[in-house]
Amino acid sequence: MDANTPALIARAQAGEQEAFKMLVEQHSRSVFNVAYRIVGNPADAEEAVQETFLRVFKRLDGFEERARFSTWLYRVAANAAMDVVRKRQRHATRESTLEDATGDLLPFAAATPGPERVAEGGQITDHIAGALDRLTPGERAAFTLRHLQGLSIKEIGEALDMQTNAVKNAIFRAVQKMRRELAPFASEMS
Amino acid sequence: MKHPDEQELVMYVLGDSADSGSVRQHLSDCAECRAQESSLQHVLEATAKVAVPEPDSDFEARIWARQRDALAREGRSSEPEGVAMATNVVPFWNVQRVMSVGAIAAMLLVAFLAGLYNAPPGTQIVPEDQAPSRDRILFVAMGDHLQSAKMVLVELVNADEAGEVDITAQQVRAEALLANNRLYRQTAQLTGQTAVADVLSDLERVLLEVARTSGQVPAEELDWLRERIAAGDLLFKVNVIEGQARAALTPADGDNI
Repeated sequence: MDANTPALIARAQAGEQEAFKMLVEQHSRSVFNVAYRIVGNPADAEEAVQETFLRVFKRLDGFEERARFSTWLYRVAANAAMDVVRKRQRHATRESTLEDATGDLLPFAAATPGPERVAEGGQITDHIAGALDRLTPGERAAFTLRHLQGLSIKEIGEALDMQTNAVKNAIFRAVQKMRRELAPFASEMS
Repeated sequence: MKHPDEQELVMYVLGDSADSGSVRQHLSDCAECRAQESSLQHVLEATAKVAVPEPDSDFEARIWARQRDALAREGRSSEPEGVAMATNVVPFWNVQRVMSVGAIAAMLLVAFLAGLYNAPPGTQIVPEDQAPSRDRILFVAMGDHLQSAKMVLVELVNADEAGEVDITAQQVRAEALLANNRLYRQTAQLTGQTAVADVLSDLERVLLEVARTSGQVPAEELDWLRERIAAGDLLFKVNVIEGQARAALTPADGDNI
């Protein structure tokens, strides 16, 4: 945590907008990083960043000094990002339902890339990104917070309002799915 | 140790195994499990390598600009709602019980400000050029009250929601805060500070609900109270006014409170 962060938090809690502006500027990129890893694209990640800081401002009173601000911020960010993913999924479901009803199928990208696309793309990172996209929001958030942000199982449970065992199961399912999807590239990864 | 199952191995690789010593020992003896562990490590390492695009140089400015707009909208959301107050039904014994030093001070403040604002022509107590100081009197007086009220709200929002929750402490404090809150609201109305009066109205409704609640509440009822607090962003608004109250404690140049 930046040495100035506690002072900025205190000033922001006192209603000083300039202090909150500095918090936003200091932390927006790291929040973008967390959000991007959960939502998988820059536009949705930016929307999640906006939503994160709106929630942070409203809940700043509830933040206790003994907690790590970055951990608390990542919790808020993870939830905001998951909400963005859910919103996107609901939207996609509505579109899909509408297309099914009209029979007017648009050329959607296949959920799983076929062998041709794999051969064309040839980039493992594309497939990792695709595999991450197919995790549920909860699996992706739990996995991201544990593996990429270093939050403890307990912290993730608090962040996502999940029991410890549910967090462990979500992370396990995420790793299992990733492993299965990336099995064809095992030799390239080793 | 027998072969760890896949979940045990995943937790071990992530550093969350409950029995990492045994797993480590097993791995040193078992080539098959070492291969599994290595495969998992490769998947995790590959995942961590997925690049996150770097936002453009205007990113922070763009984020802040939208935040600022959103906060401005929040400020407008505290416009008067014209909803009738329900506080008239507070039993008289409650008011008597909470007639603390703070309440007396609040009443004196009302009387003082009423004198200022209703003084006959030619008997102006505070010169017109010191009008901002008169407004600050209310903020200074409300500081402790708002802090106490905010604590009640924060404690309710953060209360453990497992099973039945004991909010006796918050209930007693909400009851004690009600009378002062009403006086401050009336003072804010009297002095034309309608935005402050509106927030105090909202606060009063919630304090009243808390004061009426029995000490032990089921989680559902606590959720309901939380929804009431969250509905109008009450905590946020109280915090803003409390910030103004704290700022008012530092006299501006030329002000004589």
